[in-house]
Amino acid sequence: MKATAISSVSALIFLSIFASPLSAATIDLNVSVSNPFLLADQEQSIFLKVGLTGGDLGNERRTPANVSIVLDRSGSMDGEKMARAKEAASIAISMLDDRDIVSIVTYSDTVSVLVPATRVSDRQYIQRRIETVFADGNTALFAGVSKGANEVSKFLEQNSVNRVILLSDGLANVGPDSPGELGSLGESLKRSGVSVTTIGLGLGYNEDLMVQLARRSDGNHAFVENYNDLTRIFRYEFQDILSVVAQDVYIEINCPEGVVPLRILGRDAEIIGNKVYTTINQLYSNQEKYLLVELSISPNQVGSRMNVADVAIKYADMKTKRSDQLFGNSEVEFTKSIETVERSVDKETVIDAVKQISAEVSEEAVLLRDEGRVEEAQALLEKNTEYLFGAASALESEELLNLGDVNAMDAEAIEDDSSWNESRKRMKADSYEIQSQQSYGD
Amino acid sequence: MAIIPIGLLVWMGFAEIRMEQDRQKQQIQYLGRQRLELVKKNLTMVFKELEDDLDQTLDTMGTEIDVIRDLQRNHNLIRQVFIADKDGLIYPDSGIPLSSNERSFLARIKETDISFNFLQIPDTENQKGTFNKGWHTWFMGNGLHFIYWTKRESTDNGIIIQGIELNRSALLSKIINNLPETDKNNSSFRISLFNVSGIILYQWGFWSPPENITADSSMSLDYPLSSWHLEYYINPEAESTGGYSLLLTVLLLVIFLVIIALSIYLFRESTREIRDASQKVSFVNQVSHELKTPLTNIRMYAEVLEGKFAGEDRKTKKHLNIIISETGRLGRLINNVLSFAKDQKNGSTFNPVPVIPDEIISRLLNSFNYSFKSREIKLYKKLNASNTVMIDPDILEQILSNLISNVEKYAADGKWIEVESSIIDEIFILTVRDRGPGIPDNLKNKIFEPFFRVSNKLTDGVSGTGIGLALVRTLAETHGGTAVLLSDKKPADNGASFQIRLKTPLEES
Repeated sequence: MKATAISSVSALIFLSIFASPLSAATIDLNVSVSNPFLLADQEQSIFLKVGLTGGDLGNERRTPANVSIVLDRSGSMDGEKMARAKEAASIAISMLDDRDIVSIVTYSDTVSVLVPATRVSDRQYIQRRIETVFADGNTALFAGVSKGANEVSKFLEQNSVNRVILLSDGLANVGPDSPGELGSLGESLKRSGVSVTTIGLGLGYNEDLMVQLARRSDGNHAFVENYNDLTRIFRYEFQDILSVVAQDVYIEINCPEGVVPLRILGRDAEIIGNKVYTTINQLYSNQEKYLLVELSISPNQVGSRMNVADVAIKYADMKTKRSDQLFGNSEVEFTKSIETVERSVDKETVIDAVKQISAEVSEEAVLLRDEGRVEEAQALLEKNTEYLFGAASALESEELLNLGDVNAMDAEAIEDDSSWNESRKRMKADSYEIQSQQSYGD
Repeated sequence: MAIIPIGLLVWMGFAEIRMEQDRQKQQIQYLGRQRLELVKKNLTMVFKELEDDLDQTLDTMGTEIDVIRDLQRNHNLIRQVFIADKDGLIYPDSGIPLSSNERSFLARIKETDISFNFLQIPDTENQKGTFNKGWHTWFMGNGLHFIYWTKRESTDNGIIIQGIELNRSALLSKIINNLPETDKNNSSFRISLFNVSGIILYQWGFWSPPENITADSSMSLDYPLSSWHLEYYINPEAESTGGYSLLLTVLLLVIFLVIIALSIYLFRESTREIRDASQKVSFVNQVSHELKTPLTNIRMYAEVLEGKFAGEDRKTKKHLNIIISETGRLGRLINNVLSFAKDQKNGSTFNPVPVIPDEIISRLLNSFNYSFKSREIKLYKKLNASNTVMIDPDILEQILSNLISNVEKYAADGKWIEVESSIIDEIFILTVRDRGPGIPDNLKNKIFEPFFRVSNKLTDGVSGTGIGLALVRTLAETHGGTAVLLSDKKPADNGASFQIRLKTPLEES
């Protein structure tokens, strides 16, 4: 791509804006650093953000979906929950058409494939099949997800959105039941190009397990406390699925000498020496997904410029149905003026970094609370609230202000034993939403 | 009458059900073992394919770290790849920058007894000795961990071990996806896959066995899953036993009903036949009485005329002979009916008088002369009963005339009749043979039943009352004798031989 010759990312964006609409890029790559100017002669750490935004879907043909809806039909689902779940699944089916492939898997003690992977040409048939589901028995969650993924794999294609949507209200009690084991399953599915979206219903499910499964497979996660919200969540999820513009996005970051990637914020990624690798399963139209890396920069002389990262992206373009690549990099300049450093701060990148740090802190607080260290957890969240409010005013960010409010509420709620189960689920879901840049929440 | 066979059938039915249940219990166990065997074979095959797949992956992997890491990122079954030579691990090795996954692998294997010295990869008994590839499994945390390794020549490092630690969840998921889900094929049983600590990893089959029930069948899996086992539970009600015995009961009930209906039908049918027959007989009986008087008159006047025209017009004489012979025949018919009716009502009477049987026989045969001539039947007489014995001449006459009538009616095509008589030890024996179509073996006894007629082409064109032979037998029995169809005819002979034996004490004794 021509843009790579001009080693500036803003130029790349500039080009893509003024390029003819016919050749509008499917995705935009935006590589930025929190601090374009750094103080000379001292070691510092900055945040590198690799942002990917899906282009406009326009009126072009959307990507076909290959979805398996995996429904928990254990005894606890009985009654209104089951009715709403069926309704939600039925509405989801009505959003698909004969371009798409769907399967319905139910599980309790054992797993049944209610509708094997089939083209959505007869919606009514599928909806009638959904109506036959009744609740009864235990929760063979691992096997349910396995069989759902198996149905998806029957029509596994790079040119369709391959996804398992898991709805569960209970603890897995038949087969593997630990977050680690379900996470490993998610990891394996991600490598096959299948994401698992996990929807936790009510207060009985294991949020650690459900979040792990979603995180490791790069799917979405939602906490639905009230079953009346199920249809809304299903609608969001399917809107998401139907707006995919790129898939199997592989990100490789190469840092030159003098730059060391310290850690990744939010997403799972692999750091080996001066290299960072990660994958994102799907990019959606008009949504940004990003990777934040904290870099350590070695001391440099005043006035010198330095390339801190070369970024290479490989992805499957859903519009052209071809594999494509993007390249970008980011530079910093060294100065003596603290004022220049402060004035040049890239607010967007810093805001994103603050959000990620806040999410991490929130997870830490949950861990402390789990250990019974309620006061420490509360203190941590209070400190985080202060941090968020401070950052909000410094960066003039309403988003951070809101996040601060949420944190303050969490800090209060964390000491209430009676609502802890609910609070914990919400906190986990909120953190994951930030970490995965999920477009919808509860 | 129908109750006894039905009762017997019910009893037999229940005995059968009980036996069937035992048989089925064995069958169920057999079926269970078969099903488990099938599952086990299936999983063994899954592992064979997996080994081939991993062999190929390792073959093409090489030793370049970037390639290996790329493989690690993309292969959905791989958790970690490693390479070792005789001095220990080459990769992952702490001498180079490692990812967190690689570091956690190093930490993980420290807890196992695996040594990466390729000469002594310790393993289970199944793999003792020198092998070029195999599995290494160990139990840690919440389950079994799997390493697959191969030994190969490398250009740089000499002999090396290349291995893959599998993603356990991915492997289990693969296993699950190769096993059935719950559907209509397994509605009546449950198969569960257990790990070494007795935790269910996967199960299928709609039936949910109650807690603490023992499995109907159990089987451990092949290496490297030998610490896992399968259990088979059958729903005692649904699978075949229950369903079958219900089916059997219903079937039996249907059979009972059919039998009862059939016996009622047959009973009504036979009583109707008897009623019809007796009505028929009584009607004919009455009519016959009315017929007898005019018939006697006709015959008398015909005989008078015959005497007048004796030796004159041959043609007229011939016509008169026909009238006499036919009225004689009609007379015998009427006599038959009357005797039969009498027998049915109150048993025949029997009045023996001293006579010479051959005389009666000869006289009777003479009266058939004209009839034999017109049908071209040749008569052979072997008469050896010239002693005076006590016999009822009416009975003898009636028996013989019936037998001869039958030959006339049904065996005229044989154009041959033989009448033999003898007296042996106070038994008078009369045998009438013909060369007609004969009587089929299966009907030998039935022909003596009243109103029975051998239904074939031959009789279709001939009218008859169906009481002839029945009367013969009844009369013979009245005379303390028997009437049988002889089966001792020579193979060359067609036709039938009837033999009558009558008790005839000598006059003097």
